Amino acid sequence: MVNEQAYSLAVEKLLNIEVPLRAKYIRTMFAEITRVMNHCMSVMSHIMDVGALTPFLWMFEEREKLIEFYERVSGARMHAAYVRPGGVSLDIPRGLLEDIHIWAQQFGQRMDEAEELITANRIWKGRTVDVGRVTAKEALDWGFSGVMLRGSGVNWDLRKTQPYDAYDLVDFDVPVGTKGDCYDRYLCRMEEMRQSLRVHLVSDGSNRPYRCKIRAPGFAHLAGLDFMAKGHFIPDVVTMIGTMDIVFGEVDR
Amino acid sequence: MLRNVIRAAAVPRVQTRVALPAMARAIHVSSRVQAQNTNDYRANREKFPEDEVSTRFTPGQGPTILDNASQSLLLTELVRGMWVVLESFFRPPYTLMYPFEKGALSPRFRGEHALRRYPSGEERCIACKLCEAICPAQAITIEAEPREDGSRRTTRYDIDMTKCIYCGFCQEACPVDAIVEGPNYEYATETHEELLYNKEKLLTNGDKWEVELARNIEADHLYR
Repeated sequence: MVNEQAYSLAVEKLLNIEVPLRAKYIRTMFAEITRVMNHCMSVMSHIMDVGALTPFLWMFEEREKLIEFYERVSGARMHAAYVRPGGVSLDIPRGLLEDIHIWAQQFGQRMDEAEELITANRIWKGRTVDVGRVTAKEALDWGFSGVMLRGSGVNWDLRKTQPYDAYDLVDFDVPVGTKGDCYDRYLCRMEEMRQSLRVHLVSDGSNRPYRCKIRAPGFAHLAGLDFMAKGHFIPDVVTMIGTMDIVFGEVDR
Repeated sequence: MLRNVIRAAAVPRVQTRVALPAMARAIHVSSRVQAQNTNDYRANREKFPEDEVSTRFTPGQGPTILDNASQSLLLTELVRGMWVVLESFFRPPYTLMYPFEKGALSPRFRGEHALRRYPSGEERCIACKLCEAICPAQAITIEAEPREDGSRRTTRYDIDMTKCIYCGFCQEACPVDAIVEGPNYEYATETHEELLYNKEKLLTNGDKWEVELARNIEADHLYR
């Protein structure tokens, strides 16, 4: 849905179309839902790559609920074709907002459960702390974006720097890491999910700057693997690929 | 710290849940001394010489050696994690036994295509070719000529279901609700040819799913 949003934003900018406020909020909310969906997938599959399957399955339950919201609003579970230049294709069906609210109220608790299992876990920390460190300068030089950039301490989020849709109207914080290792990036993503929730509970809810780029970032991130992996063990490469949140089909194109 | 651990275990569940993420972050921040021992990579030492200074012990800040030692010896975080796993073990599963149980679908669901008819039995499609024009995957092929009674009808209406991306633009473009994407998603076949639908197959689909199709359009009429 956010791919469509990025494209629609470009078209609207070119044609000087002003989107109705309601459509802006709907887009923002679903962009934020998409972020949570993405992070459920990326963080938990990262954890699975490193060796823990349980939180992956827990978060997939939450992801399934979100995919159901997708289906109710657009008619498709993944490829929504919902955001259009000038707004969205159909209004939100009745009752959906209540269900999203109920979901948002319990999601924080589900995240606590997953975090209890992982965040302080010594195996997880042993595998991620100090692995694949990227300095802020390196991140900028290699053209990283999204969490890869923020994990290194660069406070750069398109939602704040170039607010689109309703992002200038909602309240949220952008988490920023300090050391730029895999563990920092993991904490960033978890915190972003919580912030999404906050955006949504206050009013409505973002797009990953990741997806907003016409240039998909996967290739740039993978290119950074070489310098990140220097001096590390081979199993750490798995950790680093996981933290980059890349899809190899996307890298290829 | 030992006392803290025991206290944390004794307080009610809700409070520990709230307290945990903050605690976890505190542990992360304070774990640099440990981390350097566990993952002392050559790359990090060359690239981040400032770590040597920043991880130097400062009295009165962060957990003490006793804190760290008790945490790692008593396996606190592992035991807590296992407790959460045990809790979820006794919860009802979220699983659907798929072929026998199915998830709910909204009226907007975009599945297999169908060509609908009017209640009189007359086919709705008027061969305006708007769906053919809008189809981004160019999966639809239409040929048309006037019928004996003078009305314009299709002689050929093919959809290549292997090209279709299920965007739903065809049903949006249709002025007479003839081509629709129905609630059926179980039409896997063994060969490619079986997924090249012709007009006959699409009309059969329409007849088969008419009740559901009409109900879905009715349910969504407020938004169209």
